[in-house]
Amino acid sequence: MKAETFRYDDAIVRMFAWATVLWAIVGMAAGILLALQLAWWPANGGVEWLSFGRLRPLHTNAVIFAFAGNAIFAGIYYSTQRLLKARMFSDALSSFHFWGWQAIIVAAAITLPLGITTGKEYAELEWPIDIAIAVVWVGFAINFFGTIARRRERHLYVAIWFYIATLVTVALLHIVNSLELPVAFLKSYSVYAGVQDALVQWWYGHNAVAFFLTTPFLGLMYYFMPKAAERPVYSYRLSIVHFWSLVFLYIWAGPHHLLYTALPEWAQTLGMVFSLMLIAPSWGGMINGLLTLRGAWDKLRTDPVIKFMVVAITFYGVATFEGPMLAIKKLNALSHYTDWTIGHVHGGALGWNGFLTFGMLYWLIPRLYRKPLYSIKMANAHFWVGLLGMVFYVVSMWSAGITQGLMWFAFDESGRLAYPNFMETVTRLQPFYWLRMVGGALYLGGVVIGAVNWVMTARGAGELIDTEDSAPALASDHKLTGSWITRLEGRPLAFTVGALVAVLIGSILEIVPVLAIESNVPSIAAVQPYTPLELEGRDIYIREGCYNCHSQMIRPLRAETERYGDWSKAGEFVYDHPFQFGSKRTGPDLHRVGGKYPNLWHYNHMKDPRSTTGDSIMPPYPWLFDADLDLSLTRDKVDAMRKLGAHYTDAEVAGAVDEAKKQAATIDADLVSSGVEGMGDKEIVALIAYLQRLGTDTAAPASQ
Amino acid sequence: MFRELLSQTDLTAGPIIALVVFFAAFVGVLVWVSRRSHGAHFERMNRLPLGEGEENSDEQGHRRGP
Repeated sequence: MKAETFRYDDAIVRMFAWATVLWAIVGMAAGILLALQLAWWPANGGVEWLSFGRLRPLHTNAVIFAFAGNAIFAGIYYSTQRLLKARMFSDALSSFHFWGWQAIIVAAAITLPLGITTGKEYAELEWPIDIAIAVVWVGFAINFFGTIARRRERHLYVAIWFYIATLVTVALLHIVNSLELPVAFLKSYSVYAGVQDALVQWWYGHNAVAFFLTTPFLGLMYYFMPKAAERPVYSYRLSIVHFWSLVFLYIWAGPHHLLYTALPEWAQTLGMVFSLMLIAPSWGGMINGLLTLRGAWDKLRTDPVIKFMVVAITFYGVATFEGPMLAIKKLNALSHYTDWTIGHVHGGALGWNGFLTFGMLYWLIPRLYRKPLYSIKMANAHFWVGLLGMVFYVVSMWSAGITQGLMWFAFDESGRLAYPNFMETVTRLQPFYWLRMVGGALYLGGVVIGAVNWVMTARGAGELIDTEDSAPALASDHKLTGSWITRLEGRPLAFTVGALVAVLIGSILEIVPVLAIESNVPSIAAVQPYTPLELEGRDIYIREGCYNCHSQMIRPLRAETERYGDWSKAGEFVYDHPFQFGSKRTGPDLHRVGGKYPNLWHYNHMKDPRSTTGDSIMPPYPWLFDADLDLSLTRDKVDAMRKLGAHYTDAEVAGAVDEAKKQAATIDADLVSSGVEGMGDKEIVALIAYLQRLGTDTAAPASQ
Repeated sequence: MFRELLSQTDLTAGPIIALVVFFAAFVGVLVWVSRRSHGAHFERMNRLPLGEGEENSDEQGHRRGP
């Protein structure tokens, strides 16, 4: 058959590559500022949009969706065209994907510091941006599947399988988890509440790790590792087993983020068992990647690309061993809410995602600009500085996490908490926080060295013409032969449906019972909807990102009930749209904080945390005392909550604003009697109202 | 109604069914990939990223299959 000549779109790959570098620096710089704030609280400079609770979502969104996202797209656009022997389906869609994605990132970078957030971790962006993400993603999918339709290579290489699983599953996760009821242009409530919201959120959250930070990167590994090693993948058979086991198992693992919480026991056990099973395919993939270097290990000494990739795959192995271990309930009891989790995710993010991306960029940029790498020495420097940074980071966080976990669980001889004051367990961590910041700074320093190297490589490259290739077109009357998977590989649609079914089985069987079966969330008669003022206070709690440092979930463990009070029950969260369980306790749990302190204590604590809690590392929130409480949306908010199932009467909805003012006046009167004037119409009263309500509905004697 | 229907169904058996389905699929894939007759096809697929797989269209391997 006659060969057709065509050109690959290299320009789009270059654009995504530079966006990767830019957002890496931005996202990691935000991370270092956050690290500094934990070591030295005044580091936010008193600026509200730099406070930890608002900046941390920006950091996570920037490194996951901007840095890793653009890296994935650069790699996918480069490899897909070459593996399918076709230019991308539509240059316009490629361009739409690129600019649309960057616009979403910019929107995130503006809204998150302003406190515009849904309050769901890793899915903080508000509903108009959620819709934009869905639209851009669909554009990407049309472009990708359009390219598959026009391919000149019948069979899909395993990297393409991983890309397909990514495309389909991320769409599913994003849409299901982002279902929310808009109240205003930039304000919405999750349609799910409490435990159900938590399950959907962590099904999403864990699978964002699986299908945004793992499967696409595995696809990149299966393409770029053989390229760099100049050898085929160790075992193609293993890669097939790797793929199907991974997509089947990963989708179930989400509940391991909710062990010992109010989530039904069976769902927790499922999450744990499937997480343990995940070791097998993960390590299969790691072995397959590393052994690709068989007979070429000498390159590890000379080629920076190989160095980065080998360390990346090794970190993948470490993180996918550590993850299942942390999913074991007994170990999770110790590690959960501590910095151990932070160490774990950064091992994966810095080691696996970061280093694989850098390896790919060191391989790609000289080829995209048809010039040799500017400096191998600088690349080696980047490697060693980055590796050292990771060691500092991960070891300090492991140490901090284990230290704090052990202190929380320590009892003295008389059977009382050995460290009843939470602050004791925080001050102990300060040295580790400094070390972590040094680690992060080293890692970013490495990226800056890399960026200079890549820019110098690209400089003066002259006119760049898209790479030309040729291949015969596929015969349209072609009959696929061979056994079923051989045929499946040649049928993208059937393949996509197969991958979708694999992820749907787990999703449906795990989530639907929790959403539908009443007995999974036993209701508690004493639990009532929030008052309008408490609802406003809760929105301030969400806006300030309090959940980034405080949990609202007391586990049924003696060390927890001794410290915080009665354990949290599923029925207590039925009006929580969204749930605010949190996943980290930089500060103590707040679920039973209601009624624990007088209003004045909260007033002083928010104004100057150290006036009530000596060595606190919490920043002050002066703006809550200046800003007038905005009640313009209160009625709509109460109405929205009613639509979501809270039983407010018509009169309660209509009188929401008056009711809020009335409650504010009560708190104000109490503050006035303590000598604080003029707070009645400020945001702080709403926040106090909410905090004083927390966990009080079931204020019966503790039952264990 | 859907909700009512569901709440009367014992959906907690689902995970067991899924485990069985997964296990069957897993064994199926294992058996399938370990068949010798696919060796040549895999060999070609494996070389695809290296730009060495494109010669002679795609029939070389699996024509020898069943």
